[in-house]
Amino acid sequence: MGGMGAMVEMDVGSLRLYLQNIEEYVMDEDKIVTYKWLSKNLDIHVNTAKQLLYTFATEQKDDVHLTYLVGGVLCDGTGCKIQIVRQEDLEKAKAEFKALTSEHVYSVQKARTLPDLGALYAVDVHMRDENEDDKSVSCARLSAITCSHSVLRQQEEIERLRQKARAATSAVDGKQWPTGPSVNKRAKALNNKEVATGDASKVESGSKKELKNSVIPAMFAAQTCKNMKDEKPKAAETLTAKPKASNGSSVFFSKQTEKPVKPKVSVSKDSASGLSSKDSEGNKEEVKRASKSHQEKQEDSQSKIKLSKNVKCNITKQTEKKGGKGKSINMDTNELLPAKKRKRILVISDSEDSSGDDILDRDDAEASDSSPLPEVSPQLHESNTDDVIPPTPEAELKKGRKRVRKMKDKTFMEEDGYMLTCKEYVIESCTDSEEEQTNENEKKQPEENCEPVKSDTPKSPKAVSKEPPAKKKSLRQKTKQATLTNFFKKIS
Amino acid sequence: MMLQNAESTSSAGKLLSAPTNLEETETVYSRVNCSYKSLSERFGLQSKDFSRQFAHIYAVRLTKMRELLTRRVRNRWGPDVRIRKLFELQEEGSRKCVILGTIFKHQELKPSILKEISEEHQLKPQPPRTLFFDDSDQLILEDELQRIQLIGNLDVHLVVTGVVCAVLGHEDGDGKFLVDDYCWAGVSEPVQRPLQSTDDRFIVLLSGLDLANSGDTLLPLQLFVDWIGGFLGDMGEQQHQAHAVRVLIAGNSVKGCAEHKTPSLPNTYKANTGDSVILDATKLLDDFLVQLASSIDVDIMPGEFDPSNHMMPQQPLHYCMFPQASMYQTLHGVPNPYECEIGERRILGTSGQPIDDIARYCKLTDPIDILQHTLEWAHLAPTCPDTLSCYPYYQEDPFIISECPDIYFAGNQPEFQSKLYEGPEGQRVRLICIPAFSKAHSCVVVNLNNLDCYPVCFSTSDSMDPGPDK
Repeated sequence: MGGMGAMVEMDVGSLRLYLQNIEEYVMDEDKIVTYKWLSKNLDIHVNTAKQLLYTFATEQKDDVHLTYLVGGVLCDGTGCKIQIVRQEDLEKAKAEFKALTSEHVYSVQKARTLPDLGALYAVDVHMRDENEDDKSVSCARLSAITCSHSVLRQQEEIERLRQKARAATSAVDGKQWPTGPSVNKRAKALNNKEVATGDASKVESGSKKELKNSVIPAMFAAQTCKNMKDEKPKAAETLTAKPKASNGSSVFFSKQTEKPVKPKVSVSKDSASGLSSKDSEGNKEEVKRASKSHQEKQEDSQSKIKLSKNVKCNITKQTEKKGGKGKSINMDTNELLPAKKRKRILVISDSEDSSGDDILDRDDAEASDSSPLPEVSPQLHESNTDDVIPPTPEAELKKGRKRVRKMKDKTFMEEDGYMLTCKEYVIESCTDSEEEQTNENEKKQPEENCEPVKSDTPKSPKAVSKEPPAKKKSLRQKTKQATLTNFFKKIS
Repeated sequence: MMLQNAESTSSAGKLLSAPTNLEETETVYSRVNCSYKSLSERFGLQSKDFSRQFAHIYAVRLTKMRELLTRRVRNRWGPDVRIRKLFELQEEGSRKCVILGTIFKHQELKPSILKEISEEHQLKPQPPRTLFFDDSDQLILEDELQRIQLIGNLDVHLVVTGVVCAVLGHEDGDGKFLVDDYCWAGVSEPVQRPLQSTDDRFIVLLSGLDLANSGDTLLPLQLFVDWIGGFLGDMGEQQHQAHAVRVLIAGNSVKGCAEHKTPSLPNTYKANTGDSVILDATKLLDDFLVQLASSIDVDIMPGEFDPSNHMMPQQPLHYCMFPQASMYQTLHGVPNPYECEIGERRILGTSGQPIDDIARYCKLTDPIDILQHTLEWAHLAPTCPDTLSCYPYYQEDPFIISECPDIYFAGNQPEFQSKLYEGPEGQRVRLICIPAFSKAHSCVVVNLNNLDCYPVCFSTSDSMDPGPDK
């Protein structure tokens, strides 16, 4: 212990001071003082804190009570044990050990007996809560072990880890999208949170979601009103009147139903807004068939998304009309729309429907299954999932034609009722071009009869166009009958 | 770190003195550093494609394990033994030969959704079961094309579906295969890895913190954390503790049992929805993890009830769940199962689901026994995907144990068990069943140098149930 020892020895003055501190804590403030709490509070090494507590306790004798920590190898060969014991149990506890490796004061308190040693944990927790800002960073400094490689991550690394998370969630988002709206919703909620800087409180993200809900149906509605030049102001009015989320989506639907009233206008609008002429054709037909509004809605929404720029403008206009509320919404949409890819928008819009009005959406899905025109909807769904939004009506028509031909061939070869059903599917999707079909309907019958026999390329398109009208009238049975008769004719 | 055989160290009790010699008492030891390599890439999911059927896993498993098995078969039954495929059996007649294949255990009691549906028409509800083996169970061996029923010397109750094995015997008259002897793929040959240093280095394993139902776990856990961090104990203890290089938490940290098993007391002051419990538990876990991570490397595996995916392999718990602890580079989220190499020791293990699942479908009940069997079967989780859900792999089976581990563990077992498995080719594998911390309040310390292993129990005198660490 020579000079060195003297240097590191705690001088009497500071020792007194520390002991006074402890006395204050224990006697006056009636605290449970654990070595860890003391070490942290006085900023001294943990082992010194243990010694101080011991010194204090021996000085105070019977006025305070202690808990000890004992550790060592157990006599019964079941390994090691580290245990907190009360003063009075100390000797008994020590007898359990074959070899003792640790024995020191754990805590000092005035209370005669601690009813529950769990209180000691509360001391630590309380300490942690008090030092929210510098947590264990400063704690570790006081321990007997340092860990050189335990360093804080770089900010970029943390960012990267978070980024990874985001990518993962969005991937899930995309994948699970077609399966169900509820899953989708949750994934999106996650997304929202992250986008909003990770730390965003639930409340915030929740409200954000609501905002979105209101915005996106609004977007749709805006589109509808775009299609109908004259109605534009009206639509805006209705929107302003119903700013809330659920209302927004219902507005959307009601708008849809209004649509058929002014079909011609919408067509011209579409073409004006830069859609391909094919698209506008499709729209025409759709508009006419008010009963099939489901598919149209979806197609419409697609085309709307294409026109996201226009939509944005619309939204801005509307939101401005809305006033104070509108402003926040406006900002929100601006964030959303440009920041995300088209695909995202698609997803959002779709699930927005669902989140805004689950029941309605589900009804939609079910309706499309059970409606007279079930075959169309699946195809449309598929097309929705694609990154690129197809110019629905035209492309579909073309596809439909091709398919129809194929199916026909198969039907003939297999002589199978099931094949016939398949055929129907395809045909239905073609029906979009109503106008031509209605006229041609009567002509077709004779032509069809010829067709199966020859199956020439030029004839096939005609056949297609003929069949659709039949379906349009939802006379599936008729079609079947026709083909069947054809079949028999052919055989004969 | 306490040594199992330590005498009372000279430092014990030294802190029961006045603070006179600070040079001695305030020594700060720096934690030993140790090489580390993660070998768990195969357990990470590159893509998530759930459209496939599960047949591919069995196909791949059989193909890969056929290689391992063929070697075994030659060793065991001589180089001349004929290995036949099932479709060649007929030519063999009653001559002895060896067939390789995947075992399918036909079990009447195995839960089946079809049966459940059909039973709905009966009025008497079936009692729920937890064990599904029965004396009527049959063994069937399947190869790529065919299947054949096994009778004879292979005890039906000691195997489970999905194990790949080789059986020696012959076909008897009625299309069954009479087994004389059998052999598993076994543990592969040990890879000699010279140890880096002769210093003692330890890893600490624990599992099943179950913080959602913590209660009296918290103080023991805090003791554990302080012990690891070098706060607790005398100087000798702290000096040893500095040789701990890694803490591995093997699952069920957030939650340790299913909802219905939780004994519930109505909580009067807050609505205890499942979500909020888990949320609180996760925050609590973060609090502990940040203390641990500030002084040691921590690997945290997800477990059956943790907020990760449920299918094996479970993906690492996400960093965003631990906003404080993830600030440290020393926190490592790892998958379940998990394989790594720490200081030239290969460590492999799961959070315990495969062991639990096997125990439900055969008469093996001792967890350490099952653990050893899975090692001999050379498969981490043979009952995947039959009764334990797993990702529909189709080009690989990551659960095959193709390299001999040095330490092989299973988490969340009812009690601590350990065994040194010594294989025929000189393999030495330390098998460890890690007890659930919430029940036993114990962790397991393994010496990397000599594979010694012992539990350390943390208790407070009044939370001492009879024999908490047994």
